[in-house]
Amino acid sequence: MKGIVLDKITEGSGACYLVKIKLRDYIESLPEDYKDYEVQREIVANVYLDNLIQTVLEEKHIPSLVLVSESENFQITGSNFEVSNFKILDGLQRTFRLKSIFETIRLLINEYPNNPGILNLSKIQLSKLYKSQLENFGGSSIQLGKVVETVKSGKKSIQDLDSLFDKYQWFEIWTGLSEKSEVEKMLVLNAGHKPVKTKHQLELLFRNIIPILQKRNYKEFSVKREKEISSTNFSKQRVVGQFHFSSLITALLSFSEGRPLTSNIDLIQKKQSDYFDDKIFDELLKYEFLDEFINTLLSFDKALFQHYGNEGTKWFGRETTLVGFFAAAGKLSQENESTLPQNSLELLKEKLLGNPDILALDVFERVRNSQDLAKINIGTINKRAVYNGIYDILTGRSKSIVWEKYFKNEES
Amino acid sequence: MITKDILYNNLLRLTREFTIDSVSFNTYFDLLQNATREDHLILMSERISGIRHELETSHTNNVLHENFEDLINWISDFRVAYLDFPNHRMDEIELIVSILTKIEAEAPDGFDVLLDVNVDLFCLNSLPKVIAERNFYFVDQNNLSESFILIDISDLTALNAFITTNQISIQLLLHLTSKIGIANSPLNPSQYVLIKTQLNGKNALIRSCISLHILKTGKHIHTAHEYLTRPSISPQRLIRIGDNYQQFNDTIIILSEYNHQRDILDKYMRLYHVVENFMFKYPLVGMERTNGGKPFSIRDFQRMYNKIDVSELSALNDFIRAITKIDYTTGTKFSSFLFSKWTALHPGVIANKSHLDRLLALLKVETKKTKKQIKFDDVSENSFDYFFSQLIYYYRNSLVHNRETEFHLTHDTLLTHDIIGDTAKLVLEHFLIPCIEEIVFFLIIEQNPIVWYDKSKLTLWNEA
Repeated sequence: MKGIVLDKITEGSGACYLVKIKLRDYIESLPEDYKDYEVQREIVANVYLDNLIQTVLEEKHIPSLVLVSESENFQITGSNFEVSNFKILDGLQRTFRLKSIFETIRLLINEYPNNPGILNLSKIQLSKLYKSQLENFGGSSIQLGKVVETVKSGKKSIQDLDSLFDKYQWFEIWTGLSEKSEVEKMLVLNAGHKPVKTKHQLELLFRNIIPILQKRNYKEFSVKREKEISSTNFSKQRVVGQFHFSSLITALLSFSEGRPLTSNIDLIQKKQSDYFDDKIFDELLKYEFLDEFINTLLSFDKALFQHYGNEGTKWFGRETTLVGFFAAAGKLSQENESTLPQNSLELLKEKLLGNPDILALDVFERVRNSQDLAKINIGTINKRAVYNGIYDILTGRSKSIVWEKYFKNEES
Repeated sequence: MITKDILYNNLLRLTREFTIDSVSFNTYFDLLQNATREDHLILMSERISGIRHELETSHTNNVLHENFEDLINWISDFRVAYLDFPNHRMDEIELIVSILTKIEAEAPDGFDVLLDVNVDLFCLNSLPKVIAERNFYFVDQNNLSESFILIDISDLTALNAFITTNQISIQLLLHLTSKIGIANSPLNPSQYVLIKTQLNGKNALIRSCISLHILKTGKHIHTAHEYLTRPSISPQRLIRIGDNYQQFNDTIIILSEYNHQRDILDKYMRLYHVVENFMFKYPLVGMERTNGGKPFSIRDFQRMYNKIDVSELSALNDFIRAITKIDYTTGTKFSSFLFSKWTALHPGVIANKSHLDRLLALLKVETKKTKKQIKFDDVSENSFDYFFSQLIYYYRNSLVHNRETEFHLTHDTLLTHDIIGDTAKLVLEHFLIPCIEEIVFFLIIEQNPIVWYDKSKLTLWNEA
């Protein structure tokens, strides 16, 4: 995508350019994996975003968006520039909505010549006819209705619609940032989004942060999404370094709470409470912690594969394992207020990494498989067994994990 | 039925009602008066359409659905915004979601959604009478058909917590899911029990079986009725510091226990214990007082035993008769006070007089001489002592005795009797308990010749 540089500042090794880019150019240059951002969720009732279509149709100003790009992907010639690869630091939700507005307008432009009657359809009819098409790009028939209304009232012709996206939009583009400052900028820019629920906020941030951390330090680290594979099937076919996104989020939340969570169930119980946990953002969403989190995941994954082969990989890929594992470390972290959260992850490595025998995975599997499934629910039992077993090791209460004991405790 | 159909079919059918493809949606939409509401409702319908597509995909792909977050959020958004949406079955949707998330969280690796489940094994029976333990389950490891789940749909928060925190077997949860959201048979906000089909409709049998299971775990099935009103005591009762109240130390302890009790039936029994003590004390006090400090002879002891060796009812009646003759307050006899409390029951407290008549018949309250059944209107102030004594005594018997031939007072018959409803409770609360309280506290606080001994010692010979 190309544009015109308006201003520039520098900050350490990084530089920030104030630029203008045509909306169309921006939307058409969005990265391929862009649709994976599950930003539709939760933003349906966002008044500001609902009005964004009005802003576009009336050609008003949209506040600037913030992007980040690596220096080698950012070329300047005079006052012109070209950027070939970028990530969105601030404005992800607006971008998503802009994209869907763009697609909605295109839908009307394409549909109108064949079906001029579209201008006279009721809201219900619009929804009935176009909802599946609109759903594909996160649009809604209400947005479509607003575009239709603009044409019908004579404010814009069909031809005018097309030119809406030739309008310039302001951006700030950062280049040359270290990973640490990239992550920190992202956290600062997102910290204000309180209306979004913790879990969702965490998902969005985590999704953006992973590629940054992956880039240099953790190349073998990769994340699978719910849509690609269900978490239950995931653990069987994963390779070292591959994790399921929703399991990682639940593991992080369990660390923060210091007890094993079950995402859906806890969600049901919390329900509509707009619960926003500052602690997560103050303590866990820091570069140092996230770096250590991924480091811990990878170190264990590799060590367990070396020691136990595929059984180790299977074990560490299960959500129940990760949740119990990190909940135990989280509990320890809560109890030692003076230490940083990442210290308890370091302790995990210190106690277990050099001696994976402690985990006795062969015994674990045997005990786990001998559980009477008619009698107990394996998910909860499994999680709590890992949680209690690891916690006792971390606190030094025991030197080895007798899995029979931890599974048995649950039955009574 | 194939497991995945159990998981998804009813949920998909119920949620369809909120899409623009349903009649009720369109009817409701047409009634909306403002454009913002219309827009919002369409957005909500498109949201649920999208969610339904994802559910359908999980169904097609033979997997357990994992992302219920959107659906849960949609449910709460919809509930808040459209309270008056007609005939929705949102409770059932929420319940299914709650069960499915539990199944998803607990399913073992390789859980087979193509497995056939015989859904005819269980039925979902509504319970006509509430069981106090709102949600309960029992799983028989060896024989699934001996298992059951009791659920209360009137409190979804409690039910959600019950489902998510308990170790109910997935098999049983699947059977439960298959019974929720069935076409044209909406569930009511009440209690249901999932139990083997052979018992379908046999409410009394079902009730007894699950009650036994509940009792075995130390829980209860009845809704205890508490009586927490302060004792009814006339403002004219004045405790005089220095009077010889210590002769009532035993009774004072019992009254303390009485105050501590909360359950109305237990309370009544405690109160009766005080009455029982007083009614046998009454003839002894009389003797002690007539003797006036003269030495007690062997014959006096014999007379004493004769006096208490009478039937409990006549002892009680003698005691009550003595009370009715003394002043409750200056110028008002106890007989008149008690009688006015009785007549105040109808129509003030109990509108249906026949219920009172029926209660008296159940308790077998009779006239003294002719042994004829007494009705509410037959009670007079003159004959009130015998009537009142019977009422006190027969209430006590109906609690203590458990003969098949006798009226038996339990929380069931007290609160929800087939014919008289809660009449027995109302009589207890508005008449018996306050009246006996007045009598008991009067007898202790005010010096009187009925239960107050004159002296602390019996004289057996003259020292001088």
